[in-house]
Amino acid sequence: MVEFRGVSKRYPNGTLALSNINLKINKGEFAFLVGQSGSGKSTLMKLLLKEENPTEGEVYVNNNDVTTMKSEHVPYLRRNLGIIFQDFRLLPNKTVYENIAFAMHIIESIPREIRRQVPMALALVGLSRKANVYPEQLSGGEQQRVAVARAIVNSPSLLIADEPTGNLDPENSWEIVKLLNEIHQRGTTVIVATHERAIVDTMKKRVVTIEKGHIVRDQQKGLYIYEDKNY
Amino acid sequence: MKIRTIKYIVKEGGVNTYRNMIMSLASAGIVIATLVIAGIFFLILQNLMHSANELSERPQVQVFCDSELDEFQTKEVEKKIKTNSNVLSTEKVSKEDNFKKAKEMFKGDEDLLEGFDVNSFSVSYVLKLKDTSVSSDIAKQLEQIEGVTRVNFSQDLINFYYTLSKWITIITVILLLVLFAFSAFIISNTVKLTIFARRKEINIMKYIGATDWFIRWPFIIEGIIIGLFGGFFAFVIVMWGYQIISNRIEGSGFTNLLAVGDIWRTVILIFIAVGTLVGAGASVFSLNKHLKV
Repeated sequence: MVEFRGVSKRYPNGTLALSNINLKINKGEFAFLVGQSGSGKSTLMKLLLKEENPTEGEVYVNNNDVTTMKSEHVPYLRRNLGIIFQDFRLLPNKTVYENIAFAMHIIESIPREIRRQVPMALALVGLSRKANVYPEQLSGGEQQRVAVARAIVNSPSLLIADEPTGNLDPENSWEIVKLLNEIHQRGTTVIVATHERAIVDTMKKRVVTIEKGHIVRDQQKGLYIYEDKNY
Repeated sequence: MKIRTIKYIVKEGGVNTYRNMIMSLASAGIVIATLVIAGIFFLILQNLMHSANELSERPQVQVFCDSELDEFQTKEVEKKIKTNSNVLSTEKVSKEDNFKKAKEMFKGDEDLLEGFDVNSFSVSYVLKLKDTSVSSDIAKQLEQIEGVTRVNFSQDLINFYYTLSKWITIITVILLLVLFAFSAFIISNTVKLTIFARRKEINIMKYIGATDWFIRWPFIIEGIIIGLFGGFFAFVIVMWGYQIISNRIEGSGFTNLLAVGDIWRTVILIFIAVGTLVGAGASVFSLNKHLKV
């Protein structure tokens, strides 16, 4: 499903964000990418979305070599991924319903399908009653739930969440994590970048720890362990 | 692109214009202001061009027939004059009119006309030429016509009118080009500002997987709507003002301005074309920068 082969990333200012990363996440897995701020996990996510290109190595998403992908094909790559960001990234001038429907209009879904799928996605995240309000009228937790609904409305096989609980209080954070778990239970591969120890430790999923651009630990049913002496 | 997607994009353009009302109105306001300023200059320049054309059509050559010619023979001369391809129009001046003119000219010295009567004067034709630069050649050709005794023309005056008209036209065309480039610059910068304010929105669309054109089209539609709206209102303001001013000027008998009826089609076409094309074009160019995600 997702594979990094000998991936390194050096930014133009000389910072080495990732060094020789080899990582494979299989279909149907739920994996946490953990590490402190600046450890390189966001760069890893950016490589998956082809927001950045690796300096060395190859990145595969759904068996496609993202590294050599032409820019005009990038939208089609992203359409097959569900993406959730820390800052929600909802379209401010669209209602909750329109924000979710937008993801379906992009792939030119038929209106009947949009009218069927959007309410289902809204129901899944518990926001059926807020379909016609604008993002600014929602709490942070609700906005992130809209982002989750938008990410899953096209039934992607892979869901990528970059610090999805970073801007939320503990209660809302748990709501989002529960939702991600529910989506995973339905068969979607989920990759979550986070540095929230409590969530990682409770979920008992695969944990890939990144520190200073290196993978220092990769454990099934792992814990968030940060030990400076490990490398 | 599927029909339903085109429908969605057009609807999006309209809805976005409405939802970003303040920015839309601000942009339309700039379009109106720019086009009104451009329009005022345009009308001044159009009238200058009109005057230049009128100048170049002033009576330039006067052909005098033999006073002995009868009416039939005079008509023959007129026919021959008209066969010259460079003659735009002819106006006949009768013997009586020429006599009257002579009397007016010599008012106070009437004794100088003693012994002359109407029949001493000849019929003449006042000609307008298509190309004034060859007046002297045409005069020579006209002198060859049987029954023509004299051809009057002032080459200096003709040259002056010709040069003046030519320069007014050149300057007008240059000024118009500068003016429209200036309008295009102001309008496109306004659109750029509007898009800059919404760069985050564009960014989000890219992350969700929208293609560049899927993002561009609603902005282009917005640009067109704003351009149409701005162009139309600028047209109404300019033509309304022109009507008032031209009524006053006409009333004073000062000069002959272009009639509103002759010019409104050109003005509305230019305003709407500049508004929509620049609005849409600027959307495309200013979006590119924000689409690289």
